[in-house]
Amino acid sequence: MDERVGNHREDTRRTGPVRKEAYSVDLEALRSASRRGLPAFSETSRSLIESIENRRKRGAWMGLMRGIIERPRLATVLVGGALAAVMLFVPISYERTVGHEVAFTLSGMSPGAEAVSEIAKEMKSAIGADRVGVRMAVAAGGTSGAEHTLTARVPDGSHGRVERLAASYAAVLAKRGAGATFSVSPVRDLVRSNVYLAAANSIINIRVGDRSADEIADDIRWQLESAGVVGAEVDVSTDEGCARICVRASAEGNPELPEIQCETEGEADQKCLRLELRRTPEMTDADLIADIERQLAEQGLSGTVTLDGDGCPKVELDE
Amino acid sequence: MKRESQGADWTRLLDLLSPIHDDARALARRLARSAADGDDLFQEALLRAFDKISTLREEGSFRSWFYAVLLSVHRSRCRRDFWRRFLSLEDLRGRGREPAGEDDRRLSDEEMRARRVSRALARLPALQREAVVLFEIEDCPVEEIAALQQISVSTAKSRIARGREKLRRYYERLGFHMEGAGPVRRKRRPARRAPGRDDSQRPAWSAAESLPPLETHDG
Repeated sequence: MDERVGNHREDTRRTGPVRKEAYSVDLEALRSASRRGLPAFSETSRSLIESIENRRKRGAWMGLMRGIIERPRLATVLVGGALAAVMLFVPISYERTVGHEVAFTLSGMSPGAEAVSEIAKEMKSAIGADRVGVRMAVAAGGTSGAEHTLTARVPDGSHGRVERLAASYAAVLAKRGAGATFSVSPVRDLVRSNVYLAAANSIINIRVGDRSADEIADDIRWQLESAGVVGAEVDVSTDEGCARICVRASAEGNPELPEIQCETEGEADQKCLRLELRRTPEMTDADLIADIERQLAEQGLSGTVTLDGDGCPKVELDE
Repeated sequence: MKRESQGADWTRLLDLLSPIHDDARALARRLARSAADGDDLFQEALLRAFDKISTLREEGSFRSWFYAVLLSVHRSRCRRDFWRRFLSLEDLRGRGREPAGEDDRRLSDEEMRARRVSRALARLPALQREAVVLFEIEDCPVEEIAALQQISVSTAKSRIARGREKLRRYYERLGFHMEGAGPVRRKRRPARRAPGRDDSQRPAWSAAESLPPLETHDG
């Protein structure tokens, strides 16, 4: 019955006597049976190409869902719905600038002077602070030269606005003969919100309409700081309905810069020209101008590009 | 550009696969519980090989490379199906194809043997099953098995030995014992006989179907 009895394959791997296990004959049967009815190579080729095409059409995301849900349309609805639900209803935590800390350092005042507490009260209203704390450091060897640091927490997310307020109050103090220096630093807090807001946090949306340059600039600074961008400089000028917005931020301390979107209002033919300049140390002005011209061309525009003293581009578009 | 490079990739893959196509297909079926499962395993491995074809350094080593991919996909599928404790009863002959042959009884006997050992192999952990199939059916040297499974030669030998031991015990429970180097003999069990039935009507290969599961552990 079994042709293979006494006719086993010469096994060069084994060095000892060959034992015929009970399962060995069955394994030989499996060897034969598994080669019976194999699909032809042409069928294998065809099905591979089909699988690749199907996978490409479905996309990477659907490739992940493959095998989980059989009905592609339902899967799309479910996945999209799930994503929307996550975005709208699932709270997540992310950091957001919730205010600024302003520190005024007053030097040359007597320790514990009444003037210091007066300044503290005045400062609170001048810069719109929640509270002001006073810390005093006295130089060794005497009571003169004490240094008072007044620290205020301002619930305003706009760095520019807070800095302007602090600067104007410092000027007031200087006129009174009180030497003061100040610093402004953002206060970031963990905020729980939904994914949608967190995603929006990384997009700077510039709305240009009938707002003044200062309003636009403040708005941009607020959004940049909320997105965690530090040290950004914003210049906005408007001229006959055309706004020129220049945002400069150093890559140092800003590993990720947010996406900037421009939204126009008013006339239908108003356009928002957006230029994104990523200047590396080895780039020359000519390289920068060439890059701007390339971006103009990509947007179907042409013009004369120059750089002002601050390195901000000025573009005069061709008619 | 991407589609062109993909086209070049699958052309390259198919060219390399052509000489080993039948062997690789058969290996997939031997690792799986049935021909249909084996064909699915092969197809999945082929798709993964397509994705990874750029990692193939030497075309001369395509066979080993593809077998490694096949084994990897085999293990992934086993992990996915870890809760499955039943065996597929699908016909080993393949979907929709009736066996052709002059001696139907002989084909049926071979098929039953193949099915029996497939069931036995399915009770082994994936790694032991691979080692035993590669050694016993594919005639791979231990060194090659060690390379494919990325283990030491001693571990490969140990894995094969443990797998074979489990197969031996499975067959002993079925009533099959080894006698010297001769053919397989089955110990006769006292059987309940239906009234009027004699021994000539009992099939020669009948085996107990319900057995306690073998202890399994990864080796």
